[in-house]
Amino acid sequence: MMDSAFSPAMTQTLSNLLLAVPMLPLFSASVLILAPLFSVKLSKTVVSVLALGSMAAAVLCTFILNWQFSATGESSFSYTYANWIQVDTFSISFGLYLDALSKVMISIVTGVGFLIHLYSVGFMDKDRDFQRFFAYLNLFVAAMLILVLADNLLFLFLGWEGVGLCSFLLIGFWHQKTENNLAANKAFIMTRIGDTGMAIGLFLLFFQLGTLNIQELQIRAAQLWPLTGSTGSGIDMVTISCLLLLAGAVGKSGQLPLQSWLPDAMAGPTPVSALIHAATMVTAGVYLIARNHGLFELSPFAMQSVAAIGAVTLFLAASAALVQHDVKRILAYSTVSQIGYMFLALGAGAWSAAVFHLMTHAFFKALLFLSAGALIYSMHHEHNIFRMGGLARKLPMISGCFLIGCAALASLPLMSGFFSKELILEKLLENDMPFFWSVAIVGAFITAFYSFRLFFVVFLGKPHQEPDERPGKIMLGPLAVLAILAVFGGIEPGGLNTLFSSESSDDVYHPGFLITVFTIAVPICAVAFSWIQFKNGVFGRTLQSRPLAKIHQFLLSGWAFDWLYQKVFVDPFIELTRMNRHDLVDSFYAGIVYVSQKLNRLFSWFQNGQLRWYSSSLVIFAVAALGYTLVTS
Amino acid sequence: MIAEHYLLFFSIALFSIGVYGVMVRRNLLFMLISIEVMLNAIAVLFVAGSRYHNNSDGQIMYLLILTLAASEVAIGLGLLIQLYRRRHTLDVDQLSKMKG
Repeated sequence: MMDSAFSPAMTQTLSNLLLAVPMLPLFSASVLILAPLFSVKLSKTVVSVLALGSMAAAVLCTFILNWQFSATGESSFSYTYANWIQVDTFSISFGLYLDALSKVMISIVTGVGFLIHLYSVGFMDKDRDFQRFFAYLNLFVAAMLILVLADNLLFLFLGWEGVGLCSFLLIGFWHQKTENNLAANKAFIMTRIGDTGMAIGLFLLFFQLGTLNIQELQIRAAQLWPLTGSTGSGIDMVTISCLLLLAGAVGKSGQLPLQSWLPDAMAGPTPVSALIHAATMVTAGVYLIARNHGLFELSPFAMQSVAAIGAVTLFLAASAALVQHDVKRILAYSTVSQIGYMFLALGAGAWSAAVFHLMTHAFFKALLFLSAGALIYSMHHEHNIFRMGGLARKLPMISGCFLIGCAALASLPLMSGFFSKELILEKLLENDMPFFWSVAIVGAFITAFYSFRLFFVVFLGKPHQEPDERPGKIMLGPLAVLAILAVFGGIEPGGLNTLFSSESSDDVYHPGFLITVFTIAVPICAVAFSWIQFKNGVFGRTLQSRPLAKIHQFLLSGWAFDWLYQKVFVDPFIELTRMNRHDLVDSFYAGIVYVSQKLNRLFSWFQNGQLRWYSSSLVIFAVAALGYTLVTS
Repeated sequence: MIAEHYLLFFSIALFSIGVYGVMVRRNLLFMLISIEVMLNAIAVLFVAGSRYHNNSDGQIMYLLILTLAASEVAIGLGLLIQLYRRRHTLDVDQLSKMKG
């Protein structure tokens, strides 16, 4: 699909810039990976210059691309670089596609990615595997950029899997510890379950529509499966395809029922948590659904499933975050819960609101994770928030960043998170989904409550432990930039509304004054409530009553999903393998071995080396044979 | 003139003695001799058959068997001597290294 609206020179410029964006990090990653293979030693400076330089160049390219692209005034640009697979009518190309959605995504990935790279230079300074870390990090960014820029679903799937691979490598980065490897395995296997669904979805879509090009897919789907609008729960082909794609999105984005890998994924280094498990990778599912919005709009049932999954997950994860005591786990559950908001918005058809929240979430969650990383760095790798306390004086910069991050997460007024969450809530009411709206409001209350619980416990109150190390300037710099973005990032990226044309953007819905006041008041009340509870010393107190302790335990384990999966899947499987220890299929081959061994025993019994035995048996058989012929003839 | 059936009985008896020798004797030399006895039993049978049929083929066959027996004895005795030199025994029950 070539757009004729571009002049040849412009096409040339845009296509080169577009290619450079994913290729720069990929180049740096391949250099970093290949150098040790040819036993070329790169010094730390070279590694950081290469990794950071490629990211900075990618940011620059993205910036110029945005500028050039908006100058043309077109809504989309696509360019095919090469053919990948060509079999009969099945044709897959290495093609990139740029529009408002992918523009926002590459801006987030390269921008936030660059800041996290910069931060990592400081954070990983003392690590032995400095080079390996940056190789993985660059590879991750490259895969993510391919994911968001690909113009067909198979190419997107390549990036999708690359992201999954890097996630596995980075979660298990400190592979000397067994639990890190287990967490990496868990993340890989759980996302794989979703990916399998997604792959089947791709096959089905190609089988039905004969193409995997995303834009053509939307058009052909709309022709083939016109929206009847009457039945909300009919299981037809489009619903099945959408649900299969949703399975992939659910796995990658850590939504119910595949959410339990994400809190465990905090085993990786903190910048990884910030980059992968907060800002970019987990939002791939949101991107996938937003990218295929034309398809999802054809199936009301799939849309409802998306919304329902989002609502349940956001509530579940928010409640689990209430009781965690590991600072990174609190943030992990809040990520799951915030992506639940995005899914809810997607399910309500508020595509641009979802992408908007994705963007602001990337800012403030990266900020939160990076400040948590700086905190952990200063506190001698202490993760438990109840062993911290009163750190506001000692670490003013970090506490300031944390406060901004928590305020944005809690969507206090005028923070970036406020605008996006308000937009989602507004859209929910506009689309007449009062039940989901109330879930979202309850979720907003809990979110504000636990984020300020985190802040109060860590930075106010009685000090327990002294910070022993100060994070360097190279770590604080990105924090400052992200803090500014988290405060002022609440500007909805342009062009999204026109992209998702089905949204009714003309007649702007205005919720009643009371509802607006109420939605603004909810987080503020939650913060106040959190303050009262903190003053009363409720947080961290050991629970006396048994039922409460049970509930606490239940929430702490993230609604006991690990236990459930252990009982439902892992244990029966182990039981099955135990039963089949003497492999059933193998027993046939074991039988062959047994028979030949027995025959061998029998025949070697004849061959006893006794000459007289041989001659005697010869005579006996000769006589017997002779006698037989004489008798019968 | 001896009747044919006596010759037949003689041959069978001689053959049986040879077989019996091969079966029960432990000494390899005696086993070889027993084989010679069996060969001669067959030779007698050929000559007897030749006379019965008035056909000299059997007697020619006897000459062949005689040659065969001579060469067989030469080889057999040669092997026997080698065996005795190496193993210092001719007891076949002890010479049972080549078992399966």
